[in-house]
Amino acid sequence: MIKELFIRNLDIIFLLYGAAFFCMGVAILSKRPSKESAFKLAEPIWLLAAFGIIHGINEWFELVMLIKGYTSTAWNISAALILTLSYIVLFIFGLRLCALHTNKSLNKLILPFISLIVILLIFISDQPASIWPRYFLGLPAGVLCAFGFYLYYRDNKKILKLLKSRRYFLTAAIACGVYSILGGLITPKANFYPACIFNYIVFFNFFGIPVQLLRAVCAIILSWAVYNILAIFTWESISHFKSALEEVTSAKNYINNILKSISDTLIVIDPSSKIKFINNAGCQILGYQPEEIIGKPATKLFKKGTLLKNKILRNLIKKESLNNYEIDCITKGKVKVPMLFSGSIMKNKNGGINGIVAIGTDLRNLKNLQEKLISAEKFAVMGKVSGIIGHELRNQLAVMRNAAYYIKMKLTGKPDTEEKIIKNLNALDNEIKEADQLIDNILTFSKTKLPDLKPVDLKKILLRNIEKIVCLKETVLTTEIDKFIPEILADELQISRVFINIILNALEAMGNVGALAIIMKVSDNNNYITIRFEDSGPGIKDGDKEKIFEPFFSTKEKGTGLGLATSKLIIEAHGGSISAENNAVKGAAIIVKLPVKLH
Amino acid sequence: MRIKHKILIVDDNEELCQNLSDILELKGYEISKAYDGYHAIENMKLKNFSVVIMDIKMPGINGLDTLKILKQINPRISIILITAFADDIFYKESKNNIDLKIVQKPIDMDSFLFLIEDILRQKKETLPQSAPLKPNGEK
Repeated sequence: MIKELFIRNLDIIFLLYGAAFFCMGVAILSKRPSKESAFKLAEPIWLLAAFGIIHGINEWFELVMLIKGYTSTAWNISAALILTLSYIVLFIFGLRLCALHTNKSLNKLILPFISLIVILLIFISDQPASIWPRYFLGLPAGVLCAFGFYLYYRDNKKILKLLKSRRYFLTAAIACGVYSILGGLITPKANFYPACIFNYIVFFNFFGIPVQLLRAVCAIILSWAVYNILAIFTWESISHFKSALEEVTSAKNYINNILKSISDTLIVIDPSSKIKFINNAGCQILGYQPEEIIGKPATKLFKKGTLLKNKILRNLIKKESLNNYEIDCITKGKVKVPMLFSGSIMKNKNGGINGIVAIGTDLRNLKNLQEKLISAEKFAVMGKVSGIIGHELRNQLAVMRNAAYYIKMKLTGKPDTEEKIIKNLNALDNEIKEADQLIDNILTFSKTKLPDLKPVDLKKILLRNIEKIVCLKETVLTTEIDKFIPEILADELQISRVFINIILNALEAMGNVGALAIIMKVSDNNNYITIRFEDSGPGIKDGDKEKIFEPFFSTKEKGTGLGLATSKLIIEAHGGSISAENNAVKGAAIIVKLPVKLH
Repeated sequence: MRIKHKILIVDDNEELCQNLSDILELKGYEISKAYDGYHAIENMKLKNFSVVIMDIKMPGINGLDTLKILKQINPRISIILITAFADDIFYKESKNNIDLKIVQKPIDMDSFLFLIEDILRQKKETLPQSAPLKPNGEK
């Protein structure tokens, strides 16, 4: 009953049998394990795939023969040849698999020799054609594969155990072993040993199931095992990918760290002159957030026209790099920052310009230091020189003045003394006094030391000094002071001198008749305190606006020209600035700017 | 009966010493000159001066050091320091001290002569009171 069922459905068994091997072949090929894989199995496994596909086709070929009832010798020989081919491939696979363990390859002539004999026998012998490939190729190939899988597992025990592939290898080995017997030993009936005993009919009668069914089961089990073995390649490629990804990530982090820890500004500009990258230090110096500035034109960082002027870009492109170029940058808060830039052109593979990499050093500290050094030196030299000159001149002036006085004493009261002589002596005395006054001013100017900085209230200092100044009735002095003026670091005595100098100058300029308005307020984003002294005098000639702060420049008849020069010296030593301009309506204004915080 | 007050002039500038003494002699004072601190000290030991007019900056011992020694020799001596520089500190010190005055070069002779007369007058007023020796600046 069951036997009959099997016999009738032998075509389905062939179909499944063929499909199992065919699928195995396709599965292996679709996986295409890389030849560079650390698993050496990857190299010969394509042979197993080839076997699967060829053998699958062989089964289907026999299926067609069965259904259509083709039983001619030609059909039988064709089927046997396909079978032979499939077993040759499996044989090679088995050999190669074992060779992975022994590291020795079998004599290369053996297989062609056996194959030749098998093919000859197929054509010559009158026994069923499939017997020969089964005995001489199928059986040894199956055994080789069984050993091959087992040995491969033994050689790679550690890693395969870890990957939980142990049972698949063992299953594959057993399936191959069983298959070698079922496929290689159980053959069609023939009239010689062992085919006369171990054949399909005897098998069927003994077990009650056709050998093809068991072969199909073997094929399915083998396919399942191989399919699972393939997972080791998936795992490998994933782990490769992971480690590659890790490598890339760590390289990226490394570079990012380097860029981040550079304390200089690093800017990358693309060919369309937009900012492509700017590092943290650059953002900090320039006051931008990265997202505010990346993608914006690079010219935004500089004063208009700076890059065009001096042909900076053209030179850079021509020479490919430019070193130590001083350029002023403009921060977000519109503050000028002197920077020392070095840049170079990035080129792409084809030699085209890919962008510009520029590194800039903030020169503010250096410049401040330089200025401080220069002014300290200036102070020291001026002090020394004018000290010597002052002392020497005063001694000589003292002798002259005494001499004039003596002569005058001698002549006074004598009846024959000419009035002119006395007049001349008086003139001499007056000039000496003037000269002495000049020395006094020079000494004040030169003795101006570096400021002794302490927190001070500019408002109080100004008001206190205004009180000291005696104004004529014709002068109107007004003040306009912001409610909140922050304390700043300054030298009170020096700042007082500046205020008095400027106020006295202004009063003198308008002949002590007119109005003087003093306006003090916080300016420049709370970074500076600006004090404006506006008089209603004649104003300053355009060409004199800079000159009035130079030493010994005076528009007054009797002035040493040191008052404003001393003021400038003091204000600059405080990190501030002093300038002059004419008011819109009438008179001149002196503008003093003092930083709230020293840089 | 006018007493001829003795005045010592100390300055390394000989010309200044000379014409200063010319003027003061003309005003009736008895003048001695010294061109440095050492000679000033020698002179001090020989004569009883009322006033010493002395430069601060001098080679050898400067005016300020000389001053201390002169004071040891004659505690009652009045000293006028003449200097090309005059620092605020000296001025403050000399303001209410009859024994020490500071005058800046070039000297305004009218007020200088007045200063000398003033010192001598105060000395005269305090002279009868033999002790204490320290003169009193107030009139």
